[in-house]
Amino acid sequence: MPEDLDSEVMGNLPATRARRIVVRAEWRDEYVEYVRSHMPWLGKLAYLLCQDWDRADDVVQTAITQLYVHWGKARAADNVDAYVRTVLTRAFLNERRSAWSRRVQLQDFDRSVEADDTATALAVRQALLAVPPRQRAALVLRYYCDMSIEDTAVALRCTTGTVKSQTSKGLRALRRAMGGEADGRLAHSAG
Amino acid sequence: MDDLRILLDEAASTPARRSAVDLDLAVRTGERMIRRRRLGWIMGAAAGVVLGVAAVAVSGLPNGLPQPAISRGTTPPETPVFFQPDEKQASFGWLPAEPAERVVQTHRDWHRQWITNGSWQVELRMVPSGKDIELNGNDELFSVAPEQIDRTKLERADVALGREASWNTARRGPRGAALRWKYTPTAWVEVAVGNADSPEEMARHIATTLQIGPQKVKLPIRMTQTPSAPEGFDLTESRDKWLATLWYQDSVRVLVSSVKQSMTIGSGDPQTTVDGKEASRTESTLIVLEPSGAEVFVYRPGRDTIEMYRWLRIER
Repeated sequence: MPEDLDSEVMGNLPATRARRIVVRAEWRDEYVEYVRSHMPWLGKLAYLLCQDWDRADDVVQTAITQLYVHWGKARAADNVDAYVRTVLTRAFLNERRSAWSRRVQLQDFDRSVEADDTATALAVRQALLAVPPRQRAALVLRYYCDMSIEDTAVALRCTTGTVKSQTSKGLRALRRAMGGEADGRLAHSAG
Repeated sequence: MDDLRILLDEAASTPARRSAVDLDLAVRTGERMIRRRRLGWIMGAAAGVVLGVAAVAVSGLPNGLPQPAISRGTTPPETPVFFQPDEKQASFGWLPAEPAERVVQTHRDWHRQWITNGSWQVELRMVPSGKDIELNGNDELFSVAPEQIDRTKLERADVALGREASWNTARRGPRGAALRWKYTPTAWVEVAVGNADSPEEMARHIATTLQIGPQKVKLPIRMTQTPSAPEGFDLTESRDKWLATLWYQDSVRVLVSSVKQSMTIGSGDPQTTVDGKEASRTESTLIVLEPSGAEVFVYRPGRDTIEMYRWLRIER
């Protein structure tokens, strides 16, 4: 029930209206503070998923807008960061489904080379691009964000079994893409 | 696992470019989405639920009440394109009893009054020219574009109000009714009643005695300086308590409650004093407890809240 309609209880009018006005302002402040302080982390995570700064910006923009809309839910979550990771991942996966995304995907590989990349970073990033988006998201959430299989399943809106299979396939795709260069390093990873 | 983590760290280690992410844009877009969502929720709700919650109807109309002399109110000489932020736009004429609680709100593109005697409730909603009033009884977000109105929910009303009048069936119920009409050729007003024995009769009486026209409102607070362009006010009076809010551009606002509301703000310095008074502060909010027992809340993002607090005068 919307707070504004619910709150107009006889005899308690000023209190409920005051609470509404104060709460709105307070939440907004909290949200702004949170997003400002987490912007580098959000940008890095989005970049890892998208492998392109422009698209990472788009994904972050979508995610923080969604976060504003659902800030009441986010602030009540046990782990706000985990909630935000989920919002961001879903923004990434939704963006990948759009027509625009499919159109520009052809250019991904060339655009992914950044001037400041180290050889390893470049190799990993190019290999990541060869991993399908859902598998890439599973890898990033499981291994970069250290999320559990259960939490990853929630973020990806799938079962734990699907997370395991997506992770396994993702690792295989990553190994293939990196060739001999990372075989040893990835051998110890699950999957 | 650690090895993959290291590889991913390396992949993410490319120095970030200057980000084009716009936090203000996210807030603005988010606000719009919330408004649309709330409006959608309300519009999607069953009329019975809306009527039950928003309470449109009246019980105080005695049977056999003589018809009041019909006054068409004082129509403003010109149709307003926006409301002045320190004026109310209408005054009630006939009411079944003296109200115990009332809310008066004016913003640039909407005006609302809500009154009750503890049993019946009456709501007045007005918009300036070029806007229309949403159908379901939203209390603040009702000023909408005319094309957003589903006119099939409007039923022609045979009421002598001088101009086209309609019953808003979205707010109709066993004890509720809403009557809307054009108070100028291009601007709408709606009177809704709730919890009434004869809701349509009650709405008709209130509508025909309503005095329409701008009138300055004497608020219990004023500012000696304004932080930005004024956007509107909100005055709530409930028996011996009152709550007044002045709204300015950029979400800036000052709210004063005549009694302590024990307002809290999340982070910041909860225990401080301002001019010797108990206060709490964050970067953009300030709450001050007055010696009279009144509580002041100031919201001014990115600017000096204490300065704005010092512009405030409480006059009641």
